[in-house]
Amino acid sequence: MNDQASHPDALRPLLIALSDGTLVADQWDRLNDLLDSNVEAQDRYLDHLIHEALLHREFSQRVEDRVQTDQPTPTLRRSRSVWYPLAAAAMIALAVTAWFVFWSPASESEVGPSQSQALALLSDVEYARWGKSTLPTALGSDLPAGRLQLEAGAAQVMFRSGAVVDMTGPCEFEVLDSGRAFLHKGLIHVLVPEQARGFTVEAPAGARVIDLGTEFIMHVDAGGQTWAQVTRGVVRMTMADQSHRLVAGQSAVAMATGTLRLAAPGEHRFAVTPAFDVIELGNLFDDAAGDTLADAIYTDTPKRAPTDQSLGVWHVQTGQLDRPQAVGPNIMIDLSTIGGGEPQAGPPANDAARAMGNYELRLGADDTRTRQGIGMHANALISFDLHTIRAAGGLSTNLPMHFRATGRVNPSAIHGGGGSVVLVAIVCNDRGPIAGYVNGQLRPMQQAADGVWSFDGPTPQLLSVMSEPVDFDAAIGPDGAYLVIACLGGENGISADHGVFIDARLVLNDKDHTPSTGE
Amino acid sequence: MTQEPHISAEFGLSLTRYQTSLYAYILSLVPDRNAAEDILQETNLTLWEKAQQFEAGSDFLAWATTIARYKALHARRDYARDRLQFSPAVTEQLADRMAERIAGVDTRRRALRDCLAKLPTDDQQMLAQRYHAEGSVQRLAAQTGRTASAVSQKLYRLRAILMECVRKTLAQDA
Repeated sequence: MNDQASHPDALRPLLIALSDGTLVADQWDRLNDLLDSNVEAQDRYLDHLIHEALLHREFSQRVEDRVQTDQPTPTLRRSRSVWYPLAAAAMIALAVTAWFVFWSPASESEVGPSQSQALALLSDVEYARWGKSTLPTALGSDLPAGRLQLEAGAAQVMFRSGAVVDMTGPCEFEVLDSGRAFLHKGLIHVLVPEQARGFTVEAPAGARVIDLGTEFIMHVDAGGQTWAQVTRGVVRMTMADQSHRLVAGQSAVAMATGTLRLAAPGEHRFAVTPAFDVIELGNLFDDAAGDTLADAIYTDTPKRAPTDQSLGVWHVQTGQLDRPQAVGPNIMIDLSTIGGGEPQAGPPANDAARAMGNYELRLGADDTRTRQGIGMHANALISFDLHTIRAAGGLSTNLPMHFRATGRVNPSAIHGGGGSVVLVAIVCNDRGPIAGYVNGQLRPMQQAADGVWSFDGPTPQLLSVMSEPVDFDAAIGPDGAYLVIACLGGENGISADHGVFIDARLVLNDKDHTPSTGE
Repeated sequence: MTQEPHISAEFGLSLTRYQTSLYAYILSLVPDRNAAEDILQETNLTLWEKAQQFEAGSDFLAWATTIARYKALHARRDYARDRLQFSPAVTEQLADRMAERIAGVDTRRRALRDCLAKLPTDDQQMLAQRYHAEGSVQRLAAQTGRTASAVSQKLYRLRAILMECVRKTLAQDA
């Protein structure tokens, strides 16, 4: 205890200076003396510092949130000591934190090829499926020089220089040294902070993109041409003795023939061609969140019922469609106005009329082939999470998609008298429906004062077993977040009212195919 | 699937959840933002390395602050060469005192958030400029055409309003 401490206001100017960052050495000594063995002063000081800490964190998080919204890629938050809300993500952040902490400033200046030394860090992986990589592919791995082959999903490499590269599968990418890499094929998004200026990505045919402190996208297409587009700042693109300086918005292409030229706006779509053009939605039911889409669409288990844990499924609702149901975190839809009822008869199923039993999906009574698709008893609903599906496939949000299906009452499920149903598809963004279809026809939807969405217009005609099949074709734009399909009815007894979405699928790039068989 | 989890979910959740509390703890011992961030990172790293030793259901915060305290006392790195520091005795005393308060940091954070939302937009923006990054009082003064002392006074008043609001909120909830 000392004399100054008896004066309660002695602490105040010191705390102000501390907060303002202007505390000088003799003030510091005074603060130290004031706090020494003075519990009252310590309490005031700690109150003050806790609030300082909370303000630091509060505002740095707000900035992070904003940055993240404005710039969806790269996904990793690069500011230090900022934390993801999820445990798994915290581990990613930890790996990055640890990696930077271990790098003393002295080693930062080292540049040059090295076989044994870590040149980069595998700082994030999302639904990644790896091919024959010469480098380790576990999250957080130190990367020496070597090659990464990403077959599907996405991954992020953080170079020691500070440059960050987001890879979208399929992609083949080679780490050369801490400031240099080679893109053999596929798409990367490169973010280069000021200290990593000069970061260089080489490409086939001697093409090379040299960053001048910026952000750019680079794509080596199937024909071996290298495309680069600058998002922010400036890059230099060179090939042999040709060179172009590119500013934000500009793009150029290094042709396999050895010519480097500026590209016209929109000449090249900077998107990966996925290894598949069609996603059969029922094939996702036997896959769990965390699986890659490429794997998921090639595993097909007939009669498998979707659950809320299936890959790309946000929610499955069976029964109680006579009242509003959630189809997304903030989206409630009421299907009772077009025939949604209360009773239910089990969950939907892949490639089958129902999860139990053996009814197969057929296009019509005379169809002899079993079809891909989703069978649903009346009053069942599936909400697909399009964000997750895109992420699992490494698909760009800009990739155009369509939902297509042929709907009908399943002819193999006739129980004396036949069933009748109403089939529904709704595309939603994060806030609500964008387009709703009833029996294949676009129909307006409205939002009530309580926030619940429903279809406008009269009660739709029921599809019967005699009805012609109805075709669904719904465009899904970049903001498409949820796809809802539902089967309504129950007037003929719940076990008879059974609808099918034959070949329920997402079509990418509008490359469609004819309905396939389920075998 | 992508990769095996290295450490338990409970550990990960605790680590994430208590980042702000740990930061507050460290900042109170080493009241320099950059140094505190660095020490927090080192603490996280050690916690992570020792994650296997963490027993589910035990007091994560007590364990973590023990490590943070050690790190704060022993942080004598390059970045600290011209940093002013409390004497070891005062640091120890503050650490003891802070240990009693740390459990309440989370509650205060929520209260502060509510209180911040009640401030006029201009005031929120001023705090954001000061606190989100390196917005020094001098720079803020230059930007707003005020004197550094006026900015300092204004910030002081805003902090006082917030602290009072937090105090009232906590008293109401108690």
